[in-house]
Amino acid sequence: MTISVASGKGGTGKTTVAVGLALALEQQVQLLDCDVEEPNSHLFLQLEPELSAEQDSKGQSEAKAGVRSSEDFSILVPRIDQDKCTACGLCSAFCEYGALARLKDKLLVFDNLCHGCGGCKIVCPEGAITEAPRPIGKLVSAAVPGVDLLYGDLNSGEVLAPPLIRAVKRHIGAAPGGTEGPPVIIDSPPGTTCPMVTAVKDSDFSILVTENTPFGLHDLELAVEVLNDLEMPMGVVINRSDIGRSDVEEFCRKKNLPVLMRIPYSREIAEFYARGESIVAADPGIRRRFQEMYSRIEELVAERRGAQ
Amino acid sequence: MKQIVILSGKGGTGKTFVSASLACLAENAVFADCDVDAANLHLLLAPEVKETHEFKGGRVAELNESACTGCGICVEHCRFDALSMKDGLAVVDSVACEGCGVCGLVCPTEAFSFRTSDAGRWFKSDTKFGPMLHAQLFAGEENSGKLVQKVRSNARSTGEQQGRDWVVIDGPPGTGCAVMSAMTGVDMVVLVTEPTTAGVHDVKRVINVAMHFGIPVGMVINKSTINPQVAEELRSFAEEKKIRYLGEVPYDKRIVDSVADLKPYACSFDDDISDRLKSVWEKITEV
Repeated sequence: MTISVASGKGGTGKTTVAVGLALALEQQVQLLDCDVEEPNSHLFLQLEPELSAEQDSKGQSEAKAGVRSSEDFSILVPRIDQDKCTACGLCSAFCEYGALARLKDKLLVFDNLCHGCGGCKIVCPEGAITEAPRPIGKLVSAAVPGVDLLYGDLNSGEVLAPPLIRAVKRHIGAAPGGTEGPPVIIDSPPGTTCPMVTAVKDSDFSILVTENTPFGLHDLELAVEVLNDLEMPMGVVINRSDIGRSDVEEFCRKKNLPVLMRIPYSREIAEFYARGESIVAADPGIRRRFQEMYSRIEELVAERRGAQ
Repeated sequence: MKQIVILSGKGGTGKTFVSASLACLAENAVFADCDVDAANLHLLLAPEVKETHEFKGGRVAELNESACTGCGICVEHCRFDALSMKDGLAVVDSVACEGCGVCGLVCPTEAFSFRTSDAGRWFKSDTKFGPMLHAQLFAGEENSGKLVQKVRSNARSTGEQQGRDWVVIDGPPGTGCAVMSAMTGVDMVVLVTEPTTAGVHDVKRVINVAMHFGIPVGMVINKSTINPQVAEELRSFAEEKKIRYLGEVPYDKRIVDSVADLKPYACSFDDDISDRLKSVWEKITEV
């Protein structure tokens, strides 16, 4: 079963819920952090400290951290053989992203604008274009007892989040013999646009984390709209549930959305979060509540499968 | 006219709470909400919408099913997993489609055409603090960077026409395309961060991007009392990186309540927190 954890608004507690659920379950789970612009799940799993870029470039990361491995994620960008190129301009005319420009009798490539579609190579009549990989981020894996973590880490200044998110999701493991693999929990990017849809798509269930404020409600409404378009079964976790008014509860009632958990406004929880510790460690009762939430989601998914 | 953008990296650090206070304190300013995925500033500034404009997004492939022979060549060539075969026909996933045009190029029967999607709306509004530009990108759309540019360029032209002194921009979370569009060409990036492991991790990423563009950076620590040790680390990090330290706001339930009541803090209350916000604004004006 694949459960995605999403939210319209950032900072509502998405990662808190995703990591909490992953740690609370007794079976082995796969946690995929698809918030590739700001991956944070790993910060709450008490992994070895991250290595500096310098150490990383010496290839010591695996040996030193023990639990961590990292590989580049690249897209293919064009390289032009200037001897073969006749500067006909077909490639630059085809490119939607302005990544190729004809300057007199020469073609220039702007790597950072290229989306890696490969169209230029196809249109070139001279066979003057080959492709070379350009790293735009990393795929990092790590493990703690009970949780296999994989996350995408988009390099600063890069824009192609969805391809990296898809690359993370390609690692969803199936058990041998075609049976269902271990539970998969996806930490989605915030918002309601392309990266969020890419992350939650094809899950069996989505948990929307919101907070009981007008901001939380406004962005929850948008997120529910997106998930409805995807025909995704969903439930809501209300964080800071005891502040403000009960507008979020009312919205859930009206839309027939199950409220899966309420987490009160608590300085203690905020302090745990600040230290980079999971709330499962803060309160043993919370572990049980996450387990109950998982059982409830299993029931909701089973009901839906039965209905179809 | 000076432009400042408020950013945070991580969501939920209090970016919009600070933006709304700076907006109400800034005299003779125009405001731009560039968090076009999940816009919230309008909830605090209560704009009256004067103009609504359509926003056209990127290109998306469309299949003419009667021309499709089901050969599958397009699926082989699509690098964005946007095409698949179903019941002997190609199917376009319009969310995954980057509009590159390769499917149209390789299709032997010219079954593809490309349309520009109706991707969102942008608004020109009035608030009691000054004019405001804001937008909403529709669900599942991309190109938020382009919509951010739209909001920003209209905020700038509005400011210039009306002789405003400031453009105050509430930026999007993250470090991607929308953030870069929000920060290009501004006079200062104001970071609202929090002393949490995740907050520090994310703010450092934004700082890298801002410094890459050579933009001056200032920092506000929100919820500063939630972890004094990490707050201290942030202060020394700011000093080391020559980031202008603009002040801090404690972890306090009064702030959460002010957001729940939709009040821009600095202009709705007269207490220690509003004093701190006023001092942040003063420091920004000194730069």
